[in-house]
Amino acid sequence: MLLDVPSGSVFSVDGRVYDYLQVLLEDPESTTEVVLQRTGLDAEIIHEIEAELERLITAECLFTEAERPTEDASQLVLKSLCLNVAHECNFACRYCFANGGDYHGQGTLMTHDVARAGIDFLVQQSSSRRNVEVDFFGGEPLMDWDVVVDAMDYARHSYPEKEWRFTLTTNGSLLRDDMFPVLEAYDVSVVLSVDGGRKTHDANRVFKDGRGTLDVILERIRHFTRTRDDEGGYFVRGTYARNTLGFAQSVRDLHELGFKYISMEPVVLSTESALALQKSDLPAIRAQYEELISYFLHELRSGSGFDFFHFKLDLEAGPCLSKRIYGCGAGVEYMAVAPNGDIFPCHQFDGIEEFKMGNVLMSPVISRPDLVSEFAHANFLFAKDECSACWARFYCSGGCLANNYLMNADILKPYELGCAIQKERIEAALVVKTAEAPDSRG
Amino acid sequence: MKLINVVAVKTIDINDKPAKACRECQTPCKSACKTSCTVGNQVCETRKKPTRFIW
Ligand code: SF4
Ligand code: SF4
Repeated sequence: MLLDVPSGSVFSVDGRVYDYLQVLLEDPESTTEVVLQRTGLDAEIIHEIEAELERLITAECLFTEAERPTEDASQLVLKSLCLNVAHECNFACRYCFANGGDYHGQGTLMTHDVARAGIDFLVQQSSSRRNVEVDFFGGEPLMDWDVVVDAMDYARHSYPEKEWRFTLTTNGSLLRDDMFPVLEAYDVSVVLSVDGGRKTHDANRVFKDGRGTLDVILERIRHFTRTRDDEGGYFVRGTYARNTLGFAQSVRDLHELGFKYISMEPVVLSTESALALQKSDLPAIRAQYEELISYFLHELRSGSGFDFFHFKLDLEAGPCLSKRIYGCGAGVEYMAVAPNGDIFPCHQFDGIEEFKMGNVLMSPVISRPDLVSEFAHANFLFAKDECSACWARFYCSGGCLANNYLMNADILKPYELGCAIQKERIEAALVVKTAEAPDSRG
Repeated sequence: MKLINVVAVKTIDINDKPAKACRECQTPCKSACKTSCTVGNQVCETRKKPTRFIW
């Protein structure tokens, strides 16, 4: 596979082209003799390779040169809000970044007033943006279901000029049948956390007394997802950690349990944690992606395909360059509100006092405009040296500022292992796209 | 003999300028506790209606 980074052109290449490019990219000054000798190819093939490459270069889809985009944060306005409605959870997952859901504080739930003030703040800040997003998160957001419903109702009725998009992330244990029509009525996209089969799931997703949680949630979750198997609107997402590295099997298990929309993410924990991924795990992670690609394509070709979130890569209608050079928007396009109304750059900064940006109940709401500017800058892809030189930059858009802070105490310093995994994942998605391309089907 | 197979060309407009972007599409959060979305997983919503799930 060959990717032209600036133009996003993707090719699948014959092994001989690969060998030829290896030699030339290592040393662009290589003479024909050197290329012949190092690749073992004959002159005729090299002539053909060069002719094909030349055509692509002339068509400006290979070795393209692009000016480095300039930083312009003037277009960034708040359009997405995480309402962290519950600093409380009925689970105590072993890898939870929120310390079992309480974010290192007292377990609290958000009130109706705070949630409504959050919606008001989002609308005031979102200027002319029509699409606005609210994500209900926790802890376990279903512990504060009334507030979730009230906030959605308030948003839609008070601000009908906006296109509201709601998302809710839940462990599934409190999901009840009477919630289904409400989730449907507000068109809520639901993320359900399941890590795989019993052994994998129960290794880390446990109740406070250490019991595994799969038996309690599985039927509830399946009952809900069955209502959406045809049109989507849910993702079952798992987290893999050091003790559950075999994520290809976990995805297979989730698919065999009947789920059609699946996602699987690497855990992010500080290196001292026993469950944290280590650099030495990279070969195993790569092998898992390879296994997953084979399984994914096999299922697709045999008519029982499923959606794997990270393989959803739209090469025809992907976002514009401007979107790709400003990342997740944390602290400027996206913010998180804690149950007491405090505002943080995103849910992962929730509770870190030095990143408190304001409070939705105060006037003015934002008390640290300097932090907003700092995050606007940090969101710019080319503000980070590693990202500027990274082949994956226009797919990744510059990593996770919270992970950068957690691992390097610097929002501008990418988390190296996270980058390596991110690149594995993007490469895997491109391989799947290449395999799906008409000329590649075999 | 075809040695290079084109999968997709020019999927990124290298001359695009920030001021032109409508920025109506979702904000992509790469956090593991969500679905770890990247812009690569997104679509331009003026060109294609996104599927129901957003991030
Ligand atoms: S993979 Fe890492 S270096 Fe590459 S763009 Fe993403 S954060 Fe930056
Ligand atoms: S900083 Fe990380 S966790 Fe926060 S919104 Fe961005 S990608 Fe998500």
